[in-house]
Amino acid sequence: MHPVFQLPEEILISTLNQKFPCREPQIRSLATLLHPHAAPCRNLVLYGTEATGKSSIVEAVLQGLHISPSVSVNDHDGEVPADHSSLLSYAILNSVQCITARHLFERTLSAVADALDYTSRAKKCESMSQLTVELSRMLKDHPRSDSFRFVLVFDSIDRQRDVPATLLPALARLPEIIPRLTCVFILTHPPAGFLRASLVVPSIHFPNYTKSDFTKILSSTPPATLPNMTDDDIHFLWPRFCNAVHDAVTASASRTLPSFRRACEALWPRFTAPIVAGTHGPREFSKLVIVARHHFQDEALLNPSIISVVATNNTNDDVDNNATPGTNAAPTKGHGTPAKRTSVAATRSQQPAQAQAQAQAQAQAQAQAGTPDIANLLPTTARLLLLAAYLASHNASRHDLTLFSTYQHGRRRRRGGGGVGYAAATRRTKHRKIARKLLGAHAFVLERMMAIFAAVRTEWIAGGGSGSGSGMNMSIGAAGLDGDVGAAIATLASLRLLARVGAAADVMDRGGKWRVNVGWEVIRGVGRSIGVEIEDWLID
Amino acid sequence: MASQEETETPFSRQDHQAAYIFRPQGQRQSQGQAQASAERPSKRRRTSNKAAPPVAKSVPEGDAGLAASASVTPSSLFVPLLNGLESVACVQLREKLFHDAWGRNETRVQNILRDANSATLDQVATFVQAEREWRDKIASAFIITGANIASQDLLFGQLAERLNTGTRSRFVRLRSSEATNVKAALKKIIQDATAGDSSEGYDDEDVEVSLGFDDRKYLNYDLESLHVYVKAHSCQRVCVAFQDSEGFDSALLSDLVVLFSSWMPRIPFTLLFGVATSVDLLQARLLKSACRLLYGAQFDVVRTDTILEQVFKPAVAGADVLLRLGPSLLQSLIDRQHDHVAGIHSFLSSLKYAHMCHFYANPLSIFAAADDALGKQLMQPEHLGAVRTLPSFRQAVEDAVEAGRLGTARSLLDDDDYLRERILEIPKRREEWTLGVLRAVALLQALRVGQDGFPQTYLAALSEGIDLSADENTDSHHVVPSVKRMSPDEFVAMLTRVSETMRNGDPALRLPGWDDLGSQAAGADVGMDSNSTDISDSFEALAARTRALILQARRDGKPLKSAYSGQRRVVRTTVVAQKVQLSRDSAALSDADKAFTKVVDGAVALLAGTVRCVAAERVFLHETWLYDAKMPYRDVFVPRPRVVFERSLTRPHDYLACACCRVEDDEGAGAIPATLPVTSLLYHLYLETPGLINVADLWAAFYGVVGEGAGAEGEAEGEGEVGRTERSGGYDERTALVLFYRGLAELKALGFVKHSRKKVDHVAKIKWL
Repeated sequence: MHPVFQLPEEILISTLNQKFPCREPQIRSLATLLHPHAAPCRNLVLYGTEATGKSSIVEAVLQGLHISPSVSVNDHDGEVPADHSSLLSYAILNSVQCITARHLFERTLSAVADALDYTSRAKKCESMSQLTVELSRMLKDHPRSDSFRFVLVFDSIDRQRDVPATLLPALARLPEIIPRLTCVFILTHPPAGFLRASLVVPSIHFPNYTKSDFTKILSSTPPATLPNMTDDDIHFLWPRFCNAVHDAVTASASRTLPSFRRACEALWPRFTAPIVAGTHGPREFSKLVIVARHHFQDEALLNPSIISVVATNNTNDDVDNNATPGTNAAPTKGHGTPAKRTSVAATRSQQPAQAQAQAQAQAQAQAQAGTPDIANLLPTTARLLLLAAYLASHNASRHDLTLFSTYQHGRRRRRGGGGVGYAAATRRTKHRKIARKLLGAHAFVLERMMAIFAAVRTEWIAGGGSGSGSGMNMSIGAAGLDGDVGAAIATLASLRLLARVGAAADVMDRGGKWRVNVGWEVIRGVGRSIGVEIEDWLID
Repeated sequence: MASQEETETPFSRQDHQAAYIFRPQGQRQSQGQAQASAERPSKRRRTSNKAAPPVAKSVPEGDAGLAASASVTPSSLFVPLLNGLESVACVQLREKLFHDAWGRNETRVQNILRDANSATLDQVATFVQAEREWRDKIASAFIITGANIASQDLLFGQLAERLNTGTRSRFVRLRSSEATNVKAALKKIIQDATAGDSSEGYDDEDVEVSLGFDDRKYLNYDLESLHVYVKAHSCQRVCVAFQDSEGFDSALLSDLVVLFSSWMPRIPFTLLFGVATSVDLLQARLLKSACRLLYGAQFDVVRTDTILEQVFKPAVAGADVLLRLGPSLLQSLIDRQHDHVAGIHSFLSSLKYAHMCHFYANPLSIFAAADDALGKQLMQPEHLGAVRTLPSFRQAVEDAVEAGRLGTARSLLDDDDYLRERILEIPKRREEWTLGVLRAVALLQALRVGQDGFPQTYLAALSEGIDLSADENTDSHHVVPSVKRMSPDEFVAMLTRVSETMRNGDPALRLPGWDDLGSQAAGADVGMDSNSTDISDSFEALAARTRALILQARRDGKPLKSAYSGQRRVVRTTVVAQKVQLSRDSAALSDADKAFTKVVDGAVALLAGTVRCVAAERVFLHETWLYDAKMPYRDVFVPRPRVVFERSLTRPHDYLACACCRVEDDEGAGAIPATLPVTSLLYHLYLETPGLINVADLWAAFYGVVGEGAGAEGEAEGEGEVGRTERSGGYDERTALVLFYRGLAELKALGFVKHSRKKVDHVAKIKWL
């Protein structure tokens, strides 16, 4: 019996539409192209940037079709065994989870076997041909209705590791060999000519959402009501707020739905703070925007820190309730962070000396405003070596004599960047426009770094009065490359602050080439921690 | 591992020799190749493969080796000293003393180290075990461990213990060396997480394993197997700890995070990162898409300074520590902790090394322990002779002579029995002195003036002693002035602390309260006042009086101040005949103020009487229990290969001590004796060259020195001065050339020269500038 052409049910599509707003055309085409009675095709390519609903929609459509009554066995359809009630089965493979091609094959087989309730499984599957054989054994040999379809979804197949060049074309050939099989490929962006040269493959594009789409999607999930606000107020304020956030953040920088949602959720408590405080009414949208204007310029929204303990729905200004030890890491969003961190540190520590030390360290960190506290973690020798390495990487070796020779009394030091002699220097070297510290680090010979270290050691230690008390002795590294200095270099290397260049034989090889691996900001912090302004030591 | 294996083989004679010329077997015998190969020692095999690895894993590496050496070797490594005349019993006693002293210290310190991390462990455990509302992000704890990577091992070991016991959770530790790619990392994770339930070997590539209830097989890097395992055992979480997150490849980390996240609802992953630098740097290395998947919290580990102080008190300064470390050694240990990448473990091994040195090499160390009968029994005439060479003995004799006590001096020098008595007094004197120093330091700490931590105060007390009454002039501590300047409230608090310290002592220092052993120690106390209970009481009385004064002043509504407090002097302005006159005047003190001043004076006098001790070096025969030698310590713990190489090449005589290498000082600087070893000779020539060295020139110069008829060489114009040295007979050209090549190759192997591509036939100096 040949099936009559039949479009998928409207009820299925409308449920999906409610679940995935603004994706109706894609859902319709997908359902049509996958429905066993509509226009089933062999291969199908879905592409679009991340977070546009590709994987979820495919899964939802397939699930819907699997249980949909139109696909189920009709009463008069006696060919199909009773235990297979659906005309459509599917298996979804996520290539992110597959480490090798073999892994992908074996997982494909096992997923297909699971979907078909197939009991006798293949022991192993190492190649494409083996996959073909096993798949056809499972799919061909079974007595099924002619209109039965099996859909194999390869999610993010473009991120498959360890992939042979023939994998994709071979997978695309599978439906030719095995009847009733549909392969769906999900990619972010198909390369030119991808599966197009030989076959005509229907493909569905999932474009990114537009501004109205974004707003519509987010409007469907308004936040919980706050004090001083009614539900109506929220329904009034939330879409407008989403629009504003979109214009401020999403339109220019972070274009995905999750990041938009995250930005909205992060900003909402700050935006509504004046309402909760009672200074503004919920309907005064423009005033609220003006009050919260600086929050919209916060770049932390775009690149949130991985330290994010404060739950976003828990509100940011609610700082006191996370005194429990599990959640006392400081949030980096929001203001007043350093103060909070200090207070937490103080409450946590048992001994007053420790609390004092931590408070001092925090105060220092606060003063340095965002400098990573790597400087406090490294011992003095390691800091000196790191600075020497930075100088070796960023100064040309022909300037070494000028910079580090203590033979001449008045050292002629030209400043790099925005120093005093900068205008004169730029006029002379007009061909170079980029400051050297903005360029990448150059490789240097270990011996040169040691020479610089030896040259600056006494001056920096004597001049830099850091708060270490009597520990500042002149003997650091006095013996050249001794055990402690070697240990410091090794530590820096294992922390990837120094990187070996090339395949040198040994770490202790004095001819080995190295490169500093940290940027200007960190180095400046490290320099200041021992009282050295590293900018003075750079020649452009 | 290496140290452990070495300790199993007995020491050879050369192990203790500073320098010797290495001669392989064949060369020494100069016979046939056959015999040489026959005598080749059997190849070393790792026989202890089964037993050793768990030890090395659980205990830090260095300690494992040392512990093994202590327990494995039954025969004593201690040798008789005093030219071999020391009796066996003494040797055994020294060894026993060492094991007692260090063993007690070690267990105590290990406990401290374990407890030090407990706060961090609690926090991390709470964070990890907390229930999460949403499951789309991976909970990850970032533990800032500091630059010392060695300490991470202990921490993560404790974490593993902690998190494995509580609930049904699995803990996997990953080191960067073990996980070089995704596959290896996953294999390790799956293997460790499912360990104990499958006995198959995993060494082969791509083994299929079955873990669930059904007979399905999985690739050993397939996380689905872990998923099945988690489901079958209903695990609540799988913790994956990246111990040294800096060591991991950035791409690998991001990859793993994305992979874990894709499995996230099904396998409940929790990540732990050991961060040595900063979370920001780590975040900068991760992909942004991976960062978004993390739900992180940051935890700090106790700083090394704090741990150092915690360890310092019982292990170095504690009242029952047998061996005192001297101030200069301690200072260098502490400086090394601060200035260099040296963790607390290196501090401990330094301590242990000091103990070893003292008890191994000092025959008099047996007299430090309080065991009169034994000491008397064991004392040999050689001991007495050794004692008479000590600086403190000489000091004592000189002091006695200066004080006019000639009899004492004479009996010290001549009378063996008298000296024996004095030697047997050592333990008692040591205990008295220790008690005095610790009490003084504890009281100084209780005053809480100045910024110095406990170690610094202790060091100062050790090296210079403490004397508050003399402090006024030299004023190294600023103790007395700052006590005087205290406000009444601070003053009361300080007095309370002082009397509390006197009552309770300091448990960390194992220092009992003054009263507890007042009865025993009081009689013989030298530096202390005899009845300490009275002092404690009088401190309390002073505090009570001050409190009364404060109450009185509060009732009167006037602030209470002493004659020493800062705002005593006021400036008065008087307008007389339209002129302003400024006059300084000391504010008048009320009666209460005067009374308070009197109280302060009394307290200061009392403190000056109580807080005092003498420097360690002024105690008679302190050498038996004080170790203050920096030299072997620095050589052992801070090797200086470069300096040593350079010196050995410049002055080989220092190491080889043979006649041929002697460089006489009266010869000129340019004169290089041809009898030096070839490499050293070349190094001398090398020192005179510029950055690029023409090999032909170098050869000419070299041949000029060692060749036959060196002075007549025409080509070696520049080296005429060198060539003019007295040469009886040199090498012929072929031999000289061989020697030259060998020397040059050795210089290259030592890293002094390298090939240069700038010029043909040149080598480049590696040394910069």
